[in-house]
Amino acid sequence: MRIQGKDDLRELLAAEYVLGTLVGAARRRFERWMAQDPSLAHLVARWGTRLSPLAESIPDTNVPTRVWDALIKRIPALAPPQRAEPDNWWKNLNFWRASATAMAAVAVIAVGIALHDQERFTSRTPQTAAATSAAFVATFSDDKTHRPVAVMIIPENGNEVILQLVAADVVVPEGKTLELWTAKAQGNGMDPAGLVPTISTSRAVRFVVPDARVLRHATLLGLSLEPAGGSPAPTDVIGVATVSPIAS
Amino acid sequence: MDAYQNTEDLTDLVARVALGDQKAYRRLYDVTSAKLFSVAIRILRNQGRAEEVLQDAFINVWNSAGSYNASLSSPMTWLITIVRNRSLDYIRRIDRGEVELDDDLAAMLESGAPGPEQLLLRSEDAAALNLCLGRLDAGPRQAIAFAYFQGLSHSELAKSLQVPIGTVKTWIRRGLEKLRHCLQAED
Repeated sequence: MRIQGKDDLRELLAAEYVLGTLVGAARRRFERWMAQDPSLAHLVARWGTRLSPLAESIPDTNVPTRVWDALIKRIPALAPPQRAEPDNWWKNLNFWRASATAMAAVAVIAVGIALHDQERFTSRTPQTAAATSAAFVATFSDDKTHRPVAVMIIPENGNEVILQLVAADVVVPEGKTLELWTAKAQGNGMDPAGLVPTISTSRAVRFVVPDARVLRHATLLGLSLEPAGGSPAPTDVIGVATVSPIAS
Repeated sequence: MDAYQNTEDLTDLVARVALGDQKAYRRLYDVTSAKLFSVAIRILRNQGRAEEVLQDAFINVWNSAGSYNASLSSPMTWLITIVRNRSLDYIRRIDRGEVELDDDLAAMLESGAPGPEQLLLRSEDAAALNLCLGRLDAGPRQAIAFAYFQGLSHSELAKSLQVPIGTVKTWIRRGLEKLRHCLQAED
């Protein structure tokens, strides 16, 4: 290590690391040194202790309860069972199916998208199939409030789908991505079905999924917020949906 | 002050969280999150981002409570470090635009050392820091305080304090050095 033995430099880097003025590559490099050098980690801890009375002097700010609610959903050991059990999605789903207002709201939007994209989809749809259905629609709704969150159009052929966010307050934070899921045919749990690219300001995105057949045949779809790159299992589900054919 | 703000109690809570005690985790969250949320808001300047960082920080606490070392730092310092580092990483990734200096903090710094109202003299450590910050010149004191509270980088500090970046770097380097000598003498 290049800073071994240089006590003043080590102190200064430790202090600036804690202060936050050590930035970028220098910060990352310092973290690597710290991981291998317990005495450097010790200096950092000392600076953290020296300066922490400043942070403790800041007046408290009430934390919205949604932070805790969202937090425990991300920790498997703490997640409320009614939220984590896939069975419950079905219960909610039945409730949602019965919710005529939710259906009406999403149907209008879904038809709007379908009309808009009809040309593109029908051009890929075999003429023989056009008489029955041109595409499928999945309307994702929040499994607690049953509010529609997003609508997805899945063509009868091909792997290119369209996803439109309909809830204005659904945002994808920096470093996060939306991911699609399908309920496992047997047993509990969800299988990943594709990552959603960054959604533009129009809130709609057209993208290719690995295999749209699994979406068309799924009993239940999920849409979740995940760290960039996706997850092996859904962590923050924002909507669930069944798939229905759209008559053309 | 909440009885649980006491270091032994928090240490006990963190130790129980490390064993997977869910009630202890809730209690730790209840007694520390409001302070930590303030710390994140000051740096991130945005409630939504601060909520996100607080969430991530507490997931980290659940997963890494076992690695907390009570001989290195107090539980509150450990928690503040987690929240500050996550907040700092967040703002360096995004462009948070022009950063305005906190009015109340600016006023406090202009009037000299942080007074007992702003910097509660909860402990000997806080009293020593208060005293030693007060011995710094205004420039270094402001640069260090704004960097700590608001996560300003050298260039942001130069812009906000309207001095060349070289001056900011010198203020911080010498200020921290002086602070360390002063605090060691106070130990």
